[in-house]
Amino acid sequence: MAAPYPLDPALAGLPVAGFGLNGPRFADNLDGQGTLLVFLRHLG
Amino acid sequence: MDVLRTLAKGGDFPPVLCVHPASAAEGESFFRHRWPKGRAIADPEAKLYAGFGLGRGSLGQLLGPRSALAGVRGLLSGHGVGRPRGDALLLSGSFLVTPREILWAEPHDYAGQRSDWPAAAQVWRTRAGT
Repeated sequence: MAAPYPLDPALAGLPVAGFGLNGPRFADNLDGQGTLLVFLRHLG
Repeated sequence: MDVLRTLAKGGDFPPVLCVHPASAAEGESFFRHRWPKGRAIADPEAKLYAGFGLGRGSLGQLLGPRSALAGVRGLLSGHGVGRPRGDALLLSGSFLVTPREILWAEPHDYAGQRSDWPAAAQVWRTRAGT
């Protein structure tokens, strides 16, 4: 898939919950230099 | 997960944030045991999955020859198949993301596909100028 491309602002503002997070919105947890986001199929 | 945890320990790798389809409580229990220093978003409604174009795989993507081969490879590496928590039909993927941009994208074509995390790290290093 071609990149880079803009992150949807609606996605950036999405409320999130989880483990070890820095803030309540998705973008709060992304580093300005880049964060490797790894989508898992399942836990285990 | 073990490979990712090892890569993330090094200083020359981007910060890692996992997204999983189980509940926040299940995710906390899992990560507290398996990767206490890890970070993970619980996305049981798969909103982030959808936002990054990841949906449910077809039968061929989930159970086809490439997935079966990946499963055998995993078993030979000592990785069993855990009890699925969340939507077990979702496909995985990896993305290098800032608050404004997606710098590198690798949505997976089939279950069990390996991510090219070193390629993502290279993009990250180039951006950092290191």
